[in-house]
Amino acid sequence: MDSARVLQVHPLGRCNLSCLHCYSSSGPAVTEELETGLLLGAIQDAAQEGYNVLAVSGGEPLLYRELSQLIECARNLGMTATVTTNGTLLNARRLKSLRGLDLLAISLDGTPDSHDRMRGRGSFLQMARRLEQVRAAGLPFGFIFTLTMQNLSELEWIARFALDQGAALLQVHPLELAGRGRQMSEHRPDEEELQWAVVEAARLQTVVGPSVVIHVDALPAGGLRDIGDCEYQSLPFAFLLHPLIIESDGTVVPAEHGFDRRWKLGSLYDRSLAVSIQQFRAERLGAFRKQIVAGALTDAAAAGVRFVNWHEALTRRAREVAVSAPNA
Amino acid sequence: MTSERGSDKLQHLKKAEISESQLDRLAGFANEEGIELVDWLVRGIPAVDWLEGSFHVRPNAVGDLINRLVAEGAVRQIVVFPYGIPAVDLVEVRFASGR
Repeated sequence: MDSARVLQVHPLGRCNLSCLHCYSSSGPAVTEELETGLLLGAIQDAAQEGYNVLAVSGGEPLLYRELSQLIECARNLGMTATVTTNGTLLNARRLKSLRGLDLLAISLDGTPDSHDRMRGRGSFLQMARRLEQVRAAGLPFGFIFTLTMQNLSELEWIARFALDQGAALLQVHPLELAGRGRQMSEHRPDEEELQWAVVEAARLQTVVGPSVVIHVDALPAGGLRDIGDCEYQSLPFAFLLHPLIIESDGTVVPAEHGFDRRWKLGSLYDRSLAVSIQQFRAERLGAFRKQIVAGALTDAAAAGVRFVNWHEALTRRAREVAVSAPNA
Repeated sequence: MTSERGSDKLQHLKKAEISESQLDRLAGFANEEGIELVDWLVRGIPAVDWLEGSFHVRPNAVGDLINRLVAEGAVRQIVVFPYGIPAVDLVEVRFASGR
């Protein structure tokens, strides 16, 4: 199977919720919003560079008026298109605009009480009562669960809920210490908890069967050697840096939202994504691989863990390493 | 919000017949040159009592891997599938561990 090389787009910062752990600090008062023309150009550039998945997030992407144009653009370019939503604003009109979408990923942070604690009172019910319409629209959907240090015990409830609701995917994503998530550092799942999450997910896969795929965002440490060893100069850019993130202010960064700005590729407001990629590749990719990728590999090997939250490892490494970047 | 680890509330994980150190060692093989862990499945409700998986191994590393799997007391089954015609260039080693 072709590997997923993801362009993650955050077209706006506005959201109807203000979740405690939001890595993009989104909320109702945030006004940042990217011009559609810039994004459409960036999606085309990304496809040229080998990116094969468009993942639209936010903010709440259902509040972005031209969302359907982004999906259509990606699909026309042969990319897989996914949207991550809090699910509370899904209605017939918006579902219609999502036609052609490959996967609708709905955030779910645990049992109803836990979900509401993270996202605000009543948010679970607001999301859950929309699921019938999603099923009726025939849209493939799944749930994204933010793993913290304390909530692995709720994964079984979520897996059974996902099965009951007809979801195709349950993605377990470790808490990111970015945005408002930085205030929750004591809740970040450590390496040991991540290992247990992999084991528990494997067990639950046997409970729910094959109709719901349970995926943990962690890489087997044994597979990381390939990342470090590959002949990178000959590879398309998308094989070297993914996911690539476009934030709602136009900034393009590697790996995760909020990645250290010293390693940003550029801004869509200054130059096209194609030019940013070309310049990064020519001037800074070698340094990025040496200082960040190789450093994160060393950290992972030293930790002696079986599975690694690789994107977080890159983000952490970038924060730790003092570098002089040309556009700092 | 409670400070207790989520995994600590899952007694079926912590009371498993297959110990964490065994999991560590088995998965640790995959960190070595020429050995790739391609499949990994834990069975057992509520207790984790069955672990199965498979490695892809270069032919010259198969003997050593099997010796080490055998040395793991909990490994009960080992199946070897060679790939590559006419010359074997990859070997899949499947193992199962537990009750």
